[in-house]
Amino acid sequence: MRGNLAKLPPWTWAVVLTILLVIAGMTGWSRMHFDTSVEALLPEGSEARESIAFLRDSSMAAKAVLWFRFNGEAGTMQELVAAAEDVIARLDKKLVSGVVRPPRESDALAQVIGLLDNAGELLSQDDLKELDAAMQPDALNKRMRQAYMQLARPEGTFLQEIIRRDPLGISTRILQRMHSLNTAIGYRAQVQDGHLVLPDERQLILVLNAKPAATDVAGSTELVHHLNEVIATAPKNVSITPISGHVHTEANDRVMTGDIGFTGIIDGIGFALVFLLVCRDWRVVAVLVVPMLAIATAAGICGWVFAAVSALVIGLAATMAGSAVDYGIHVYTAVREGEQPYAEARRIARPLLTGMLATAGVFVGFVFSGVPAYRQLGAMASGALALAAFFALSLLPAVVKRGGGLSMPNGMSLVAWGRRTQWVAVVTIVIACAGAVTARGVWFDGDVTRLDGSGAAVLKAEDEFQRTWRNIEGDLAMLAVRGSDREDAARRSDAAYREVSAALGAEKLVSLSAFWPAYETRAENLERWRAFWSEQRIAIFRTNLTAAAEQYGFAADAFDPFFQSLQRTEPSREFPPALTQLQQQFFVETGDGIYAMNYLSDDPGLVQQIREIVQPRGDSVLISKSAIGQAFARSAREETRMLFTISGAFIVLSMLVMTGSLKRLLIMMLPALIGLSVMLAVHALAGIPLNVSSVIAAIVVLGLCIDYGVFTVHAWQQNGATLGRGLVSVHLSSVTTLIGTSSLLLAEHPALFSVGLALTTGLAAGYAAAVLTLPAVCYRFMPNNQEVSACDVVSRGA
Amino acid sequence: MKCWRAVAVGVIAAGLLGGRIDAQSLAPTSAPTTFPDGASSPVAQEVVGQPPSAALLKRLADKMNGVETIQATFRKEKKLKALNHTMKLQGYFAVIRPTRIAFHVTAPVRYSVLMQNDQMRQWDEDSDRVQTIKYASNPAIKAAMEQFQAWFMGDYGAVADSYVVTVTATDPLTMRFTPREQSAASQMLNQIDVAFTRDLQYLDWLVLKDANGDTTKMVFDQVQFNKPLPEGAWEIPPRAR
Repeated sequence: MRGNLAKLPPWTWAVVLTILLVIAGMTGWSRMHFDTSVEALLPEGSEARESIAFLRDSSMAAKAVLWFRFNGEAGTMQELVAAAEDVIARLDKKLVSGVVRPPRESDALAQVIGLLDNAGELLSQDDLKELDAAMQPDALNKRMRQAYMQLARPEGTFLQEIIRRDPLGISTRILQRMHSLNTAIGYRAQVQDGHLVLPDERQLILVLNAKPAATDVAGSTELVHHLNEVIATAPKNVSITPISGHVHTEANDRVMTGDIGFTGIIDGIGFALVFLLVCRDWRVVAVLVVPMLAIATAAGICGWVFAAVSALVIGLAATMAGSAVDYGIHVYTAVREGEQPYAEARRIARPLLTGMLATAGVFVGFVFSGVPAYRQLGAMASGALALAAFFALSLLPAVVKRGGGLSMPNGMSLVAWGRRTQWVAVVTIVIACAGAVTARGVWFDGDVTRLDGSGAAVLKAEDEFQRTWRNIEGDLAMLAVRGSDREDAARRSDAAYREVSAALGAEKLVSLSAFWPAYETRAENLERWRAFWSEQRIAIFRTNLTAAAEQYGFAADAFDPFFQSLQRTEPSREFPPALTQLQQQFFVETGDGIYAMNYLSDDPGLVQQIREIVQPRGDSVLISKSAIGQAFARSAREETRMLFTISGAFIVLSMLVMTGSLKRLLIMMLPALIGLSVMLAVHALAGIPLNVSSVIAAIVVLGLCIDYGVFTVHAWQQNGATLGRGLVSVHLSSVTTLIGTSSLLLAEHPALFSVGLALTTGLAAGYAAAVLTLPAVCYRFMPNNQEVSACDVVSRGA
Repeated sequence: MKCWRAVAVGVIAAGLLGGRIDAQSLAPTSAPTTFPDGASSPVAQEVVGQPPSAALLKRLADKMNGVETIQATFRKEKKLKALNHTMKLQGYFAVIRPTRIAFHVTAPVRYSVLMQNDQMRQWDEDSDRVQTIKYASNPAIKAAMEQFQAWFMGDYGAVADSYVVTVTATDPLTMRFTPREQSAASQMLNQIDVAFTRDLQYLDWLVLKDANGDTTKMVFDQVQFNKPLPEGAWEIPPRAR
């Protein structure tokens, strides 16, 4: 039995192990749960993560707006309303659960003025303090004069109903508070015929309750396609523009798919041309299969380890591990040059494993991250790299056509090349140093919205929409206070509002609590109000008021509505129907309860102050665009620090073990350092900040450039040449990679362009350093074959 | 939500123009109309109780086409439920077509309203403060401006969306603007009656009837077209006159 096993070819065990790993991976895929949100990119328990989760789960995320306007010659509002009604009739109920219908304006005015009858429950203790002073005879005289003047003015007819309900001029502040809620949030929509309109400009909006969330790619795509179909049926003189997060999701997916397809084609053509010309062997395709198999297997195994795997991480890990195609290239070129495939593979095993450990080492640090997505990325990418190295060394030699060499001359020996290029090395090192200094000017932009690839048309339409419909400048942040039900949320929001108002002033927070607080608060207000208006006080006030009013000819019953309102004993249970639109803006439902929304200016200083006030409450989430951006930036900074510490130590130690020399290690790292330095300098000089995408790309640059360094030093120690047997694997891997990355410079999507810019500049500089600088450095500091490396021992042993 | 503001401004507009008056009592009993321009009277073909014909509306608009400036004095009477007397006001107004209008109330109290370009300015002697409202931040005011233009400048198409218009008398021509059901204005206004001078050149009087029973009237005198406007007509606060 043992004899039979010994007769098996050397790759048998590798195949068996590969099959077992692939089975584990495939079964992992079948049980994998995908997480498509970006919250996995934020630290667990962080406020930014809570904010993203809130936005994802809240009913706000499913809102979509259709904006109706006239093309060219304007028509009547009735035409727009008819077009809107037609669109509503055509909406697919599977995709749109309903349309937000504001109450008809016919009942609105009476209800709004009627709010003055609720003064007792809506006026606070502070308001009552001013009542005594306002009831003095002198003050009443002044007030009656003012009221008479108001009646004389154009708006007198309208103000009359208000004056009759508010002889003291204090209850009116209820209406001011209600009005300020709307203006502070900042939309100019009015209600006409049950629609939200800008009547003077003949424009209208429909607010749709969409069923798919804006983060659902498939659902968003279906919704956007459906809306486009419905929009196409509109009258020719009416233009309808969809404004929604779904539009961004669909557009980003479409643009990214198109870019990746284009890049894939360019990459494929480049790869095919280079390899078919140089290798003239169809089996070179196996080189591509190696990283694909490794990524699929590693991701599948992660399906067993993690409860939910971020879809974004799978994409990033695939990008990282895609660099493992180089392992196949190194093995392929070595095997093609020799007669004994596995011996050739063993000859390059150590440099290949050294490069792999250095690249995987970058990701080892991620495993210790506080960010779930980074942990997954660390495990998946380092696992995929290890598997790719294993597959390349164990399977490729059995597949690749042995011997015969490559269609490439050997070129100049590296020793001669190193001697001749010493001045070039000096220049490149000086440039790299200058680049390192320049790179200090680069900064990190944590605003992920700048990676939005929706396109100019979508962004322009949104900008136009904001300019047309909004009446305030700048962004708003939100303070969401959670409650088990609406009343509980309102009560907690009242408490938060009181705390913020006491510390910073009431004007800092736009809150429903300022106008229509919780029932409990309103009951307290009414009790206080009723206690204030004792029968004796009413009698005195009535006498004083009558005396003051008579001077201006006010009727005897002019202020009866006010005195009638004093009879109220119970606060209103229901929100005034005319204000349901307001209520919708201030309450949001999510899976874990109802949130009372408060709004504030998205000023980082103010957001931080309010955060410090409400944080101890434990029932609030602050949603701030600037804070989310800061959280991304902070997370990236902290992770980078941690990464450098752990990964740096791992890389240095593993490379020291593999090379046995600190000097050689530093020389091998030189292309990576130059590549990163130039990449950062280009960003600084072009005024382009780093972002989440380019930071990831920088890691790929680091990994690949270390490989270039390792294999160039290896070629030097092998007395290799600049082409052919020597640096051929470095040339092939870098040229094919650069073809792919440079095609990303044409990408429409900003995130892919960022990746393309970082990879192309970093890898081109790293490759140039490996070819132009490293041989000269080796010539100076590693006189040929004077030092016997572990690599040589392995190769000589083979 | 903001509909109450829209209504408020609509009523401001109406308040400026309206007056408590019995429309029929103001109807003259004089001889049939003559038309200085020699055109045949389009009014004769109008049917009381029916919407005005397109020809009439066009003629009213045409009448104003050659007019660049208008100035007149006015008398305004407001009968409000809150008061036990009729509030009587008087003043003058000036118009530069198509977008500039100034109202100055001179007695018994003083206040002024100036609407021009993209904003409206108000002043009153009690507060002695000028309040500026930009149309951009308040579309309701802009909508009110359209109504002013309609009534003062003969552009009735601008208010057709919100009102049902009918002819209530032909000599002189009187039309009634009734807010459409469900419109914001219907909550505050019952109707606006507008009477024209016999030559159809301009408004003779306006009557506003509120939904709550209040009425206001505005009667125009000394109407002059294309004459130099008084100095200071556009000044806020106004010059003493």
